[in-house]
Amino acid sequence: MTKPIDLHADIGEVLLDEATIQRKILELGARISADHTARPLTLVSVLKGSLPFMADLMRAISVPVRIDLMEVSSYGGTATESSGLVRILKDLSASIEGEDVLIVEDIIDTGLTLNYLLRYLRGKNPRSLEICTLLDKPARRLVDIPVDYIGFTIPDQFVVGYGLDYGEYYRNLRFVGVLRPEVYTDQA
Amino acid sequence: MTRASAGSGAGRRSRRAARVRSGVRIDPSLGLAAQDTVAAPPTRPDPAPLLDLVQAADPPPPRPNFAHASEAEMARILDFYQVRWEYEPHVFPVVWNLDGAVIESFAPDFWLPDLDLYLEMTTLRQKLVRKKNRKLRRVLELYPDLRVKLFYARDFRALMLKFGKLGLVAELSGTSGQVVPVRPGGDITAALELSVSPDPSMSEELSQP
Repeated sequence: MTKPIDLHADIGEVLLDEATIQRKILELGARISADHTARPLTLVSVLKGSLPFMADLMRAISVPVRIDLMEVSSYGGTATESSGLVRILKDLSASIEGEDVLIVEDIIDTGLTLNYLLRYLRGKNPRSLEICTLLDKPARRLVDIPVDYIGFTIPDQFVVGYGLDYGEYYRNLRFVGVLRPEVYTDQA
Repeated sequence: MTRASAGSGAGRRSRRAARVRSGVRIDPSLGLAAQDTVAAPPTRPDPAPLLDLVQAADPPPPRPNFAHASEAEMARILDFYQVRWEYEPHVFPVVWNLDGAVIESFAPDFWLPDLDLYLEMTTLRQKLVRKKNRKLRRVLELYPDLRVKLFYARDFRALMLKFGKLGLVAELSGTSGQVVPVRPGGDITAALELSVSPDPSMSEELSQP
């Protein structure tokens, strides 16, 4: 980043404020709890973007849950250029065989990462595999994936905050906002 | 990965880059012969283990002749996420003459067999995009079961932004990204990318919501 980052001034519009996000998470937590009364649930969060969502969602769920974390490399990431293939940077720490698993995502846009992750996790033979995403950006979808729980369907804009980053920054904003285009066009 | 013919623009670029990296350039004015510049290494590793490694690895599949650099980049993205693809494997006739001969057809850039989805990249000028849109409407009238996703310049730009590669958009989009096709029998490494300034109409297209 060449320009100094101003967390708030770089945001052109607040798309989802903190109260709106928290209300939706309570609603999602209630739905997930109601749908999973019979068996314990394993929440699998995909680092790093879904970390705040995972932290809030797990506390909004009233049935027993285990949690686990995964991280997969992203195309264009410097650490992964050499392999040319998506890699699991952090794998699950416990087996999910026979478990009911809910993948917790911050955003689904192209669906490429999630498509890979689903195939990978299916190979671990869970009893069921569901998806919960805070944000869904269907305009960018390449791979159609059925999503069980969607917080917000958002327009085709580049958003940051509440875990979502640009250049690894802005994740700590408490809201989801649209990044001013000049922030990334100036640095392109 | 499932791929068609060999010799993509990206492949040619990397091969050219590899030649530049490994080649020994000799300035004739120095009066040196090639053998003067290449000294034997002090110790030579046993070549056998290296040979085993080379033989054990699967040869990389040949890359197709991509018509545009954005297509080559898309292929790399699909490869990265291990989505199988084929390049222009199917041609769909859309216009016939009175004798029944096909006079216009549509060949989507990518087919993703596992997703049963065709992907058409339209990162060129707005005029061409409109023409392609018309053609796609005709395709969907004739073949309503086809699943085709048009990937506009703005979609490609958003994808590059997501992957932190926005700086590549100018060179991968519009006329700048076009690759000179390889002539039959010609040296594929001689094919060059056109170094034309981005078409002004691109900005109109990119600014679409």
